Amino acid sequence: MSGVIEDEILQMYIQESKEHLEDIETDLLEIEQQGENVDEDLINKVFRAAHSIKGGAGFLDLTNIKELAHKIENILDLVRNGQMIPNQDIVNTVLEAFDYLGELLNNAVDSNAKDISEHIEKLTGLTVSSLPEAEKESVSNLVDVSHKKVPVSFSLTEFDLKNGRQGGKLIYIFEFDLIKDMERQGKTPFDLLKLLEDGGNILDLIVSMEAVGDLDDEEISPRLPMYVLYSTIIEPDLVGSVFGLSDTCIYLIPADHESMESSEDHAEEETSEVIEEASPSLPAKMPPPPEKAAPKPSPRPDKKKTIKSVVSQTDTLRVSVGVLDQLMNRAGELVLARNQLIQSISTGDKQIIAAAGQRIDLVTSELQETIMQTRMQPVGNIFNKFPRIVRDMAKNLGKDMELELEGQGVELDKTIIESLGDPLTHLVRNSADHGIESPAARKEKGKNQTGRILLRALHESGQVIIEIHDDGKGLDPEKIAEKAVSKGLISEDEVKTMSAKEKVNLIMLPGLSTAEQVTDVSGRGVGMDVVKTNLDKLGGQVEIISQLDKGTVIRIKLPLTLAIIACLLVSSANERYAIPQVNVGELIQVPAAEVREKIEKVGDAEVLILRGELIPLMQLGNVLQLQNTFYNPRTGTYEVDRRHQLVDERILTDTEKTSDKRENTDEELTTAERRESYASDVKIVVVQAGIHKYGLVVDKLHDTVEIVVKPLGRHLNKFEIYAGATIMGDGHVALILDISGLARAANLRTMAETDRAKQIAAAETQAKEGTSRQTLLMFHNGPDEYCAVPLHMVLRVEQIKSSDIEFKGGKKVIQYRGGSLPIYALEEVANVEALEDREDLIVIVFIVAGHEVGLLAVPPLDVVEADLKIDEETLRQPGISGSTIIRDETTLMIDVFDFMKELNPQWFESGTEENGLSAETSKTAGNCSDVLLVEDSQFFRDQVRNFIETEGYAVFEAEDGIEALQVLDEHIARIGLVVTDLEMPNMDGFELTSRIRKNERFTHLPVLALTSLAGEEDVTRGREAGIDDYQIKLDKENLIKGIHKMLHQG
Amino acid sequence: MSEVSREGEKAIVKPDQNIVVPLAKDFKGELKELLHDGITHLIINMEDVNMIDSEGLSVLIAAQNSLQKLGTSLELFNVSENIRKLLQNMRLDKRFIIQDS
Amino acid sequence: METDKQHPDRGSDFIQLSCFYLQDTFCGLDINIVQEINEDLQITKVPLSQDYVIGIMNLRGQIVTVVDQSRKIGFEPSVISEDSRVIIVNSQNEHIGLLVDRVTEVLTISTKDIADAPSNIEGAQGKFFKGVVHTAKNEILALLDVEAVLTEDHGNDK
Repeated sequence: MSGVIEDEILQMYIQESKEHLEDIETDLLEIEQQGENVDEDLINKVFRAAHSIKGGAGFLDLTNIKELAHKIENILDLVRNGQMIPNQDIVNTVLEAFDYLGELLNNAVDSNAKDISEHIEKLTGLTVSSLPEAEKESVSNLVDVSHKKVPVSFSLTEFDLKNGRQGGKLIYIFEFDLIKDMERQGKTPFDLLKLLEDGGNILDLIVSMEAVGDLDDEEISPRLPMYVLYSTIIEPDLVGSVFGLSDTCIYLIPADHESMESSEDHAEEETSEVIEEASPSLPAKMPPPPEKAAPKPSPRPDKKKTIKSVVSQTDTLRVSVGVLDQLMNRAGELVLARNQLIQSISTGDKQIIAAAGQRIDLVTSELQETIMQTRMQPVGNIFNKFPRIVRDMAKNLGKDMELELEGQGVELDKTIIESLGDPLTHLVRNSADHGIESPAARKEKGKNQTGRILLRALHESGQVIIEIHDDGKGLDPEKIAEKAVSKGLISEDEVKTMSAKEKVNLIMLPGLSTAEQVTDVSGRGVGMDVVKTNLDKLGGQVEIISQLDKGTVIRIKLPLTLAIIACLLVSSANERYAIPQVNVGELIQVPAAEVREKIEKVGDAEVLILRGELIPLMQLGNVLQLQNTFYNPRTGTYEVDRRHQLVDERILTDTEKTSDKRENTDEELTTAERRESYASDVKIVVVQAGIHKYGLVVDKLHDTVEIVVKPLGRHLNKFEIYAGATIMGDGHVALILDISGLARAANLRTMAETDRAKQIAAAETQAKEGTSRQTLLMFHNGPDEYCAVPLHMVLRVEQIKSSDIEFKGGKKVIQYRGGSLPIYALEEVANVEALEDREDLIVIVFIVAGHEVGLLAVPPLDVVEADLKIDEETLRQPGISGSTIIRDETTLMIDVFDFMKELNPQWFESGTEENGLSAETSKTAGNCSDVLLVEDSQFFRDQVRNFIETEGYAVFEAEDGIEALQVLDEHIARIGLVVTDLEMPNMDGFELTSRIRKNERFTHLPVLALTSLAGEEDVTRGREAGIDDYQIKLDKENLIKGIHKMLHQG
Repeated sequence: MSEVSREGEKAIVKPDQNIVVPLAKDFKGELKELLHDGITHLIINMEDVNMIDSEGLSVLIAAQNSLQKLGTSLELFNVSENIRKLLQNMRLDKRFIIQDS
Repeated sequence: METDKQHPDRGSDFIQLSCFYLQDTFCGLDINIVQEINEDLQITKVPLSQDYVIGIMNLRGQIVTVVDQSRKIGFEPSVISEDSRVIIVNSQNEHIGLLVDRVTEVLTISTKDIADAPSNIEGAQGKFFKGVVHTAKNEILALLDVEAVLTEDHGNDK
């Protein structure tokens, strides 16, 4: 028994340990008080105390002290991670354990004989109870850890092993040579232990005397190895220099492989067979989350921090030296620019200061960019683990499949990379599980037996795209749509207007895949909405493209960096909003004059016709329920706009005309003025996000700027219409709009994709091109009766219920936009069948002679292009100009104009006694309401003719004055107005007008001159010639107004 | 060479110099022979040993390993302060039996 | 920041309250969670948000939600006046602004003096309050439970 000679090392150890224990009680009590808000430094301090006591005890063979300290360490670790909140009970237990530890230390030599079971039980109990159910056994399950080149093997609990890998830590076996260390003066193994404790966690250590050999061995090894099982964050390439070990003495224990088989080793990572002993429940349980292997498939509700399974969420970052150099350079430039600025300010010279300011601006941006770059990591970091996952799944599922990777070098911001891990894993597993078919099924389909999954990253127009391709069985749009309808997620009507692609994307709807039974649809859909939500949070968009039996592609678009994006600034109702540039397509400004043409109403929605495409419009002000404003050029301010629809930009009805006059005070603008002012043009931002494409109507457009995206607080961050907020240069805050969210909020239909809409769009294009084909709107009257009307005459189409029809003064009307719209059925004029008695009806709205009227029709509507051969004889009647054969059916061509004339002849009378016309002429005049259009340019003639015909007037044409007189001669009975160009060959407009005035047959005719001229002399000249009014050629609004005025007033 | 006195299965070995290279090997040989000769208890008088190097240490450890197989432990006495500290540092003093005299 | 020492075993302690008026009600909240009090009320509206959210503001680069406390707890909505202030508090690791009508002084009160809150305080539900205190000046001071006031409510979610 050594008693006389001191054991220095032991004494030193005891001394130090007691020092550690001095403050323990105070510290633990404070921790108890802090409860949830435990101070990290404090808990670390206590943890370190237990840790170093444990470490030394291990070396000194003080097993009881070691074990007790170890159990305490476990508890403290759980508190440190937030998995345990230190309440009174826990703190008491730990305190008692520490107290006992102190006692043991006092009599260290005898400590191994003491009974520590009570404390151990309590501590273990606490540890177990804080763990989720599936992990409880990990505290008692033992795992063997060994390495081929290491003659000893370690045994520790699953729990400890798991902790050893937490936070991305690596597990090594170090081989120290005690004999060699002895030869270094002044160094004891104890010092070495301290070094190890500072750099990580000593899980266990074994001194192996056997490794030396015995006397019978030829060669005995002059080394006394001490093997340390160690957990640390330090990477293999650095670990040697930190601990003074050569690479041959460092053995990395890779994840999932708690023992080594293959021949490669020495600080390299391995991928060999897993050997886990003494863990009976392995298959059912999750292996401890290793730093780069498969994460837990089902999300576990961790209390505070989640163990990010994919790329370790470390607090450190690897940055390429090149980027760091760049950073330094830019920082240097910033310093220079700052100096410049300071100097320039002292000169007081504005120009110099401005220049310096610009420089700072530029350098700051560059610096920012570079800093952002440091956070960029290659996506390969997460991709790399997937081949293994797929291989494992292939084995487990009995399928033959392979994973290919492409674009591993593509870089993404660190945060995005880390958050991508889970969604990607989910999607890849999904493809493997529910996409790729079994080898037999594939063979049957004639496919390659090996299924192929491709995980691919690429750059595309400022975004990073990640695609997951599989050549499996694809998604069935019909089944998905059915499922969605049966779950009440969408209505049957909505489904009807959906394309196959939209149906497939329905699978991302939450609720589409509850796991009552994992069918094909639900299996594929499981968690898809969670994936989508996760990606939404990152600012990413998901799209699914799939073909039955061919395969599926899931396409994820991600912003390059989270924090700074380019945005277009817009205003509505005097507030600024930001639209991410990636979502912005075109900017369109529709001049007030063209609104009528370019913006149509289809059903409920307004649409913009853009190069043959129908783009649904959304007024930002309406969606956000703001008050729309418009610019009043008189007062120079923005005022609230009481118009609700753009398509209200139309001809004034009679009632509006008079009321306008009444209200026309100094402050209020006339509607005409309002329409004329530039700011009344309609500003549209065409945006796109995923499958949503639409036009956002705003009040003002501003610049595109780079902004920093700031998150909204918890009360606001769940609104899908906002992606965040930003602080502008002037310190004001602007909300960033989420384009998809906005679309969903406004219940936008993706109109552009319905076939019917396409037809209408095509029809419009054709009509403009002035082809000889006519586009007709077809409808029913009686059930077997087909009717048609030229589409370009149609103002609007409304769906109504027959119950909406009211009777006023014996006439049918419907409530329409704040007023009553008179409606008629065909049978009121023509000898046709009675309108089918149905609840669902259509009203086709026309404008005739300045009045809006509706014609009742029976759905379905159809749009047809036809080269018409109208039989103008057989079926001709009032209201019906003839018939034609469309799709083998006799179709009546409705002459709306005629129709209305029968019903409301008073609209078309233009003669009154006040004008002093003779009764005869007035009668004749009374029946004339056709227009003579005189214009030499074919283009203008077509344009203007279109305008006029749309109003319901018939048009005679002439190319110059001479022709005009001829036409007048023949058709004077019908003509009530001459609209003429001034500049024409052969006989110009002035001359024509003079002639008209001189001819007593013609002199009563009002003459309206079309001009691009507006000079003073012409007006005088024109007046002298007898011209009644001037209008600018393509100012449709005013032209029509003028025409009306003239035809109805004389 | 060391002085050896035997007593049945015991042998007391007294090396006459420091157990260092190149003599450590010889020392090893000596001990080995003793064991082959039926000795089961080895006691080493360290009186004249003032220094021991890695080779020497490994010989002692090897001896210990061999003796363990026979069920005994290596005994040392008259161990100088330095050497004792050394052995303590490596916790070898817990493996060997170190006597005072 | 001091921790709120209200451990029952530790005996009576004092707490400091930042006090203000919501309508005519004298209220206070634990100064430990108060970050600062702001006079500058440039608040950007957030259309379609909850009715008790007035909007968001820029707090040195951070976007802070500003809540109309009055409205949330059941009083009439606040009318912004010259005396109005926004108290920035820490709640669940986030800074949130609370609109108040008028700020008064900081009061120190003893925890012993805190009585249970009645179920209804001048029209506001008792659940928003931790208790009431009679101050030295013989006023009734209602202690706000800020976490209760700041529970999220997504009725307007679209």
